[in-house]
Amino acid sequence: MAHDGKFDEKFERNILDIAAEHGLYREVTLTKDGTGMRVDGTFPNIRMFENWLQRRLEVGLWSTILPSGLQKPCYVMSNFYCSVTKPWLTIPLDYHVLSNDFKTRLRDTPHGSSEAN
Amino acid sequence: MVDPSKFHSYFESLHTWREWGDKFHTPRREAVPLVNLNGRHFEKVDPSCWPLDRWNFVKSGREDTPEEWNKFYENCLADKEELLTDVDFTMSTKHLEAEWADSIEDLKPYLTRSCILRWQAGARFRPHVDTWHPVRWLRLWGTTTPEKILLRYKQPDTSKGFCIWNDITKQDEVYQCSETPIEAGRLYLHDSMVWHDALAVEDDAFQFFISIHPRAYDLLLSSIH
Repeated sequence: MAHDGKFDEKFERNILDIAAEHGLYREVTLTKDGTGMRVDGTFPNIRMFENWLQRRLEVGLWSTILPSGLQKPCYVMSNFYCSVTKPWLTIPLDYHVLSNDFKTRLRDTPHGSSEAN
Repeated sequence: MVDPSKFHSYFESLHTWREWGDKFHTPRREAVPLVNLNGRHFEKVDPSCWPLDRWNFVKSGREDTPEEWNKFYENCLADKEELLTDVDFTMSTKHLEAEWADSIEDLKPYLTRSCILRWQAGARFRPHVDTWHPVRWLRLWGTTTPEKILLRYKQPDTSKGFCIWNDITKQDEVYQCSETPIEAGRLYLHDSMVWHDALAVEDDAFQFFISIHPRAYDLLLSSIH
């Protein structure tokens, strides 16, 4: 499997925990062209989204890595192998895209105040 | 069915909220006892207002490490531990005598370890189970603030839901809320043998955290509507 074992387990666990702390709801659907799976993530409210994004950027800043834990169920569901990387570029949780909006904000925010708790 | 306005007017004026256990302090998780070991409502350390697995673990004298915790949890599920359990708590506190609780009068004789929880945004119960075979207690759950709390169960459908790391099974798992819309103040028979977790998404999320003796089963069935 393309992603299993690729990432450090602690990183994986940390990323999943951040998602769980902030109520990330994940929905997996087959892309229209059938070549991959699309992951949509929603949050309970804007405050939790902002807190999640700040924490997520602190852990693996600018990283485009999606935690494999978010992808594994795709394999369970359809035995889909993530060998085609292109569909993943459409994922809303693209940190390169999202992080641009928060780059300035993060720079101006004291580190301590970015804690979700 | 509990009247949320009576509930809030009573519990929001209380000053005896206790921190839930000894381990996680923020976001705040607080509780007040409805049924505990001695009926006293103001104990500073009250096991009914702790995670009971954590209480039993601390009392077992084990070293406080993740490895020892996992061994302890496995033993619990295999019935190999001497545990203080929900049914050991039978003394009701004065909180159950208040007007908000009049509507659950029929349930009171059967209640075992029970409390009210108040959480701040981000407070969680991580994936766990509260009941296992042979079943010695049932669990009721409810909230007066359904828009502020997510109670989520592990699901076989992994295509959608909340992707959560289960630190006990050491697996990524997918959880979803019940499809039943949660009504403020209603008590639900909650299958706590299924892996589940909970998350507050806004401050001051109130929950009923109630265990009840299986003798109440027929009464519960007749009360379902």
